[in-house]
Amino acid sequence: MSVVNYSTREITCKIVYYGPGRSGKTTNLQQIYSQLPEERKGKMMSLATDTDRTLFFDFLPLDLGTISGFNTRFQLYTVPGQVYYAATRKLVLQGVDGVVFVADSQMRQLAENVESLQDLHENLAEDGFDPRTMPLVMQYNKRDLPPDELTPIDELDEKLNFRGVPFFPANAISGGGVFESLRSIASIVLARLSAPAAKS
Amino acid sequence: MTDPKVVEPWVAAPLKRLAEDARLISGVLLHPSGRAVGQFGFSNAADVMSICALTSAINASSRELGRQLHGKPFYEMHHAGGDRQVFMARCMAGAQEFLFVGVFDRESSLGLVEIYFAEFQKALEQLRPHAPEPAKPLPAGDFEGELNRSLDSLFGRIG
Repeated sequence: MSVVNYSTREITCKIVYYGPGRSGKTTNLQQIYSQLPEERKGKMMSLATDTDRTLFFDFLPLDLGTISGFNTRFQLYTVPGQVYYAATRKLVLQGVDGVVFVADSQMRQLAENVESLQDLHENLAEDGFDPRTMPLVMQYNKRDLPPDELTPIDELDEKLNFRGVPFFPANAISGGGVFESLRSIASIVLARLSAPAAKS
Repeated sequence: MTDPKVVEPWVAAPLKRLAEDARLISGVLLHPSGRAVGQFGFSNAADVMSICALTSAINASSRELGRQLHGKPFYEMHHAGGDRQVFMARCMAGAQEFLFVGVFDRESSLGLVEIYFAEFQKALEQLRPHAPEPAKPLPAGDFEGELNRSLDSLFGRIG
């Protein structure tokens, strides 16, 4: 859950980028890291294997500035997408405030997307979160690939986005859709903080 | 040393005492999920967040490593560097688990840190609140407007 420190007037929120292996979660964080001004971000950490697959997580702290008199900070995490890192995904999800689900738009990856989303729901439920109310945005990544390799947005949305949450077509390598997704989840998470009683 | 910066006020006094008695250079108390509870010795919030994320990961990995190596999780880790040493351990306050990571140099020693860390744990146990503080809503004000302006300045106007 978000940490609101009334004495130092600070808010800290945890956002997790979730999705199947190689869907572009780390690329999202790399894009954010490369685009933000120095004074608004910390060091990006990547705990990766020697083949650059995320082993534990990527982590990027960023400073959103002052909102309602509170210094507002976000912690962005990715999880390893590969099926065998289930325990790590569960750990990284602890205390999460919002999720960006990064789906791979390639047709051949559709089943992996569905499996990863189910995995997310199971892990959230095990951690005591209600998957139906957890702040979530969908990002349909790799839209720059040839159209005949891609699942149409409508179909992705039908298969994955049954809650009807905001969704964003993206091409994380060039940055398209990356900031839109982050902005959307930041907005949803912080808006919930302003009236927790009404939203819970 | 300057007073610890804390999210939960009841940990301030025990943290300050631990820092002074064990002669620690810096330290962070956190939840196992990686959320900072209090810290001393750091001036940059992003550094504290990074240390918390890494400590949480090291804690989870070392517990599993302990289980694999001798059937029981490792709850305490120590690294002795050339100039500085790092001490990392869990502590309990009732049912609530915390992690602590502290840095010290030749002004202190592992033995000294362990002695005062045990005192620190007792103090947490004594001072812990028995009921969680109810969540307070943020002041409404122009929350949405300020949020949008902040997001605009960070990410640029979208749409």
